[in-house]
Amino acid sequence: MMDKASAKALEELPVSTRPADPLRVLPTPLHMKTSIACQANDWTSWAGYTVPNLCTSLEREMSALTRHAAMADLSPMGKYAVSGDDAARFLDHLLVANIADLNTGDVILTPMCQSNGRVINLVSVARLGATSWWLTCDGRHMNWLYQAAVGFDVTLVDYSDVHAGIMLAGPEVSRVLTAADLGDCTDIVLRGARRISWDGIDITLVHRGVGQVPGLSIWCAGSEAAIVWNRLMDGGADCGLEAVGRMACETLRIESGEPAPGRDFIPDPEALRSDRSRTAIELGFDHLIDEGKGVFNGRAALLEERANGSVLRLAMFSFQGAAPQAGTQLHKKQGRKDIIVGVATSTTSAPHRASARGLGFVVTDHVRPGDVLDVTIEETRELLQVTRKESCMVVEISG
Amino acid sequence: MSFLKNILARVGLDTRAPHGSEAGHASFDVIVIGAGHNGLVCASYLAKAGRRVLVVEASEQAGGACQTGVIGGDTRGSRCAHLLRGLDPEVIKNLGLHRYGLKYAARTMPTVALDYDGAHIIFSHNPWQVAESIKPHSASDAERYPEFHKRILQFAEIINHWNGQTPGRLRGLFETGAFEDLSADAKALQQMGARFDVLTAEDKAEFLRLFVSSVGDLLDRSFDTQLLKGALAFDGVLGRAAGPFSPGTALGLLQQWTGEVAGTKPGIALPEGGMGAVIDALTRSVVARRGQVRCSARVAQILVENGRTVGVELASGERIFAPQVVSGTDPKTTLMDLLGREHMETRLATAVDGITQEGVTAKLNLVLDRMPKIRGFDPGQVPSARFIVAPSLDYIEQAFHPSKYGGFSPDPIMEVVFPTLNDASLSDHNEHVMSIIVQYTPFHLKEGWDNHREDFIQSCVDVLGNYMSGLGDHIIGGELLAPVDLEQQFNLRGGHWHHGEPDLAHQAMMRPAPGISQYLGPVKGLYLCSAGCHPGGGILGLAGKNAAERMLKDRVEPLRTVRSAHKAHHGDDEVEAAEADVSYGEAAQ
Ligand SMILES: Cc1cc2nc3c(=O)[nH]c(=O)nc-3n(C[C@H](O)[C@H](O)[C@H](O)COP(=O)(O)OP(=O)(O)OC[C@H]3O[C@@H](n4cnc5c(N)ncnc54)[C@H](O)[C@@H]3O)c2cc1C
Repeated sequence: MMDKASAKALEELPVSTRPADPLRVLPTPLHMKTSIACQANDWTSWAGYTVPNLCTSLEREMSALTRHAAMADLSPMGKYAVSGDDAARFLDHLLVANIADLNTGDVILTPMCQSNGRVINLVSVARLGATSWWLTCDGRHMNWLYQAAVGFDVTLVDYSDVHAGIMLAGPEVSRVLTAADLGDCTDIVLRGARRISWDGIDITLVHRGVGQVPGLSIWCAGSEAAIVWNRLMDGGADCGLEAVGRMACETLRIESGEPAPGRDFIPDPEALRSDRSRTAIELGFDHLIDEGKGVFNGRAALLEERANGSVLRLAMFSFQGAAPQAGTQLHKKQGRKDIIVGVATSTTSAPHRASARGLGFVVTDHVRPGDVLDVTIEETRELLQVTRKESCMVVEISG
Repeated sequence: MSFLKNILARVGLDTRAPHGSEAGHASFDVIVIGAGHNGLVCASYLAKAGRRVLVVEASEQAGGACQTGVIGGDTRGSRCAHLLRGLDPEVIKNLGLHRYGLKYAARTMPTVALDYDGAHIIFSHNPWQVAESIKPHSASDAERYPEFHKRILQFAEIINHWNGQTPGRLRGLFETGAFEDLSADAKALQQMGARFDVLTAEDKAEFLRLFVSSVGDLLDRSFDTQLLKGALAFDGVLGRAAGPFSPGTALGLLQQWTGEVAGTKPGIALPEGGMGAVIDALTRSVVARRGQVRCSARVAQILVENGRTVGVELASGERIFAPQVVSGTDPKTTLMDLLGREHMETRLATAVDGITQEGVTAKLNLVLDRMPKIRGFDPGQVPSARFIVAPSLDYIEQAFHPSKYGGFSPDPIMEVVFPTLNDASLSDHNEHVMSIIVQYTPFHLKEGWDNHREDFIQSCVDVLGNYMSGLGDHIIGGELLAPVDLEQQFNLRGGHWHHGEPDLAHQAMMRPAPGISQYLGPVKGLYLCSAGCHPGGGILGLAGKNAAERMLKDRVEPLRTVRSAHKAHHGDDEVEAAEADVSYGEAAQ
C-alpha cells in the first residue's frame, strides 16, 4: 500500500552510519513499520537502535509465536559476509564448530572464542556457496574478524548497519511464506539457508528455530526492508501473523535454553575479571569441539577443560514462584553450611507456562539435574522491600 | 665464488644439491633452520649435548648477515655485519670457538667520533683517556664523562645478565588473562628486578627511567658537547628504525655497551678473515660434534602432524623428519610463512603480524686503491678504529626524518671500518676495504631503489669527504646493500638488523612478540633461536645459546609414537609412504 512512500522515507533514515554520539539511539530500517505495529509504544534499545519491547502484550505475542506466526525486527544484529578462497579455512580457525564440513545451504550456531577458550559471542554461520558465507550475531565484531583474517585470503564485508533483519517464527511460518510467494523456501523453516532474488529484492533466508518453535531470519538491504516487511505482513494476514517485540523473543530464547551475550555471559573482551566470561564448554557447546580439526581459537584451552572437567555449566531452572531478578544466586545446604552453587542469569515469567523459567550456571560438582535449590528473592510489594525464600528446580544441565 | 667453495670445503660443508636417499636415511634429533650465527650456536650447543643435529641453510653460504664474501674484484670483506661487539664470552668458551679457529685481527678497537675540524673524540674502554679527548670541546663534559661511562657500564651489566637468560613468560597478561597467571607474571617481573639490588636507590630510579626514555634525553641531561652526544646516540639508534629522541633508544645504547671482547668492555673487535671467520669456527664446532650443515637447502615448510612438529619440507620437496625443529630465521617468516597461519590462534597471529620489520640500515662496501687521508691524523698513522659520523643529536634526527616518509637524507650517519689495516688476508693486491654502515635507508624507498643507488652512494661519499679528503678518487669497486638487497641476498626479511624492531613492546618477555617468548614456537617441538628472539640482533650468539638451553630442558617425545598416532587418526597413505624410507630420530635422552 505505502511501499513506495515508506521506502523513500526510509532512504532518508541514517541507517548506514553507526551512531556518532554514543548517547544517540538510531531507528532501524524497519522503524516506520515497527512503530505502526508497536501499539503499546513500549520500546527498548538494542545495540544502539530502538526496537519494540512489546507491541501489544506479552500474552498475545507469545500466543502468536507459539500458535500462529510472529515477526520481529532483528536489524540491530551484527551481519558479516565472508568470501574468498580461504573462507572455510578462516572460519574454521575463527570458530569452534567444524566449518569445512558444512555443505552449501547448511547453518550452524557456534561459539567464537578467544585463545583462552572463553566465548566472545555465539555466531550463526550459513554457507551460501562454495566460498561464500553469511554470519550473524548479537554484537559487533568486525575488528576481531579483521584481526583473525590476518594471513588468510578472505574478503570481509560488514553489513551490520546497512542491512536489516526480520525474524519469522511460529508453527504457521510455512503458510506465511507460501502466501507471500516464497513457497520454494519453506524447507528453511526446518533447516538450511539460501540467498534468492524475491521479485527483484535480494534476500538471504537462514533457518533459525528457537527451541520447539520453527522459524527463520530474513536479511536484506535496509532500503528494501520495508517492502520485505510489507510483503510478509500481507502474506501472513490470514495466518495470524503478528509483529512481536524483544520481550517475547527473549522469553522464547530463555525457554529454549540458548544463552545470550550480555545477559547470560559477558563477551570475553568486555570482561574485566577474567573469570566472569564463560568458555564454550560451560555454555554447552562441548559437542561441537572436534579434536581432529586443527588449530582454532581456544582449541588448547578447551581440550584442557574437556580433560579436566568444567567448574560451571549452563543450566535451565524452573522457579516455584515469580522469576527472580537476573543475577540472583542459588544456594544449597551442605551440612550446616549454606553454599552458593549457581546463579540465574536470565529469567522470564512465561505467561503461557505454569512456572517461571530461567537460564544460568551451576557448579558441576554440587548440582545434578532434578536438584532443588534455594533462592532468596528480593522484591517490592506495595512500596515495601521484602525478602522471601523460595526454591527452584534444576531442569537440565548442558553437556 | 671459488673462494666460497674453498671455505666451505675447508670447514666440511656440503654444497652439493641434496642427495635424496642419503638425507632420507639420516636420522636427526633436531633440525635447525638457517645457518646464521644464532642457528649455528644453537646447533653446536645441542650437538655438544649429544643431539644429532642437521642445519639446513637456504643460501649457498652459511652465515646469514654475518659472513665474509667478495665485495669487489677479488677483494673480500664482511659484507653485512663487520664488527664483533660482544659475541658472548661464555659462548666462545663453551663451544671452544678459539680452538676451532676464531682469531681476532684487532680487539679493543677504539671508536673515533669524527670532528669536522679534526678535534675527534676517541672512545676506548678507559674513560679517563676518553675524557682527555673531550677536553678540547668542554672541560665540564670531560669531567663528567668517567662517571657516565661507569654508570652505563654498570647498567649494561644488568642487561647483560638478562641477555644470557631465558626471560619469564607473561602468560596472564598476554595469553590467558587469568588471575593466577597474572600473579605469576608479577613474580617473573620481580625476579627480573632482583638484579637491581646492586644499584643504589638513585641508580635504580635512573635505570628504570632509561628503560623508557630516549638516548637523546639521556644525553641532553648528561652533556653539552654535540659531537659527544652524537657519537654516543649513534649506538642507541644503530639498527633501529628510531631517532635519538624515540623512546627505547636509551636501552639501545645499554645493549651496545653490554658487549665484552677479550675481557674489555665495551669491546669491539675484528675477527681475522672477516665476520665469516666466526661462522667458520661455529661450523667446525658443529661438524666436530657430528652435526651436519647443509647449504642450498631452503626450508619451504615446517611439517606439523597431530598438533606437533615432525620435521621440515625443503623447497626441493624433500622431507626431513625430526622431533624438534628450531628456526634461526626470523620469527615472522618462521611462523607466518614456514609454519603457516593456520597453526596459530588469532591473538598470536596478530601479535606476530604486528612485528615491524623494515630495516633502515644499509651497508656500503668499498674497495680503495689506498687509504684516504683522514683529517686530524697523519697519513700512515690512521688508527685501526671504528669511525663514526654523527656530529650531533640534531644531525641524527634530521637523518632519521625522511626515512619515515620513504626518503633518505643527503646527510646520513655512518660507521666506518677499514678492516684491511689489520687483516691483510682480505685483499691480494694491497687494496683497502672500507666497510660502512649507513642509516637511515628505508626499506621501501618511495621512488624505488633502482634509480637512486648512485645518488645515495654519492651522498655517503660526499659526507665522508668532509673528513677524508679525496676519498672519491680512491674508490675502485664496491657494493651497496640497501635493506631490499639484504633481504634478497641474505634472506634477511625487511633487511632488518634485529629480525624485528626491538621497540619497548618487543623486548625480553615480549620478544619476538607479546604472547610468544622463551624461544617456544606455538606448536609443540618448534623453537625459535634467531635475533628476533630475546636479546635481539647483533652477533651475540645469545639467542642461539638460550634457545638450546631451553630445548635441552624439554622432554622430547619420540617421533614414532606421534606419527603412528597420527596414522591411526587419519589413515594417511602419503605419510605411510614417507615413513617407508625414513628412520626417525629417537630422543637422545
Ligand atoms: C647492515 C647490517 C650491519 C650489521 N652490522 C653488525 C655489526 O657490525 N655487528 C653486529 O654485531 N651485528 C651487526 N648487524 C646485526 C647482525 O648481523 C644480525 O643481528 C645477526 O647476523 C643476526 O643473526 P641470526 O643468526 O639471528 O640471523 P641471520 O644472520 O639472519 O641468519 C638467518 C639464516 O637463516 C637462513 N634462512 C632464512 N630463511 C631460510 C629458509 N627458509 N630455509 C633455510 N634457511 C633460511 C638465512 O639464509 C640465514 O643464513 C648488522 C646487521 C645489518 C643488517
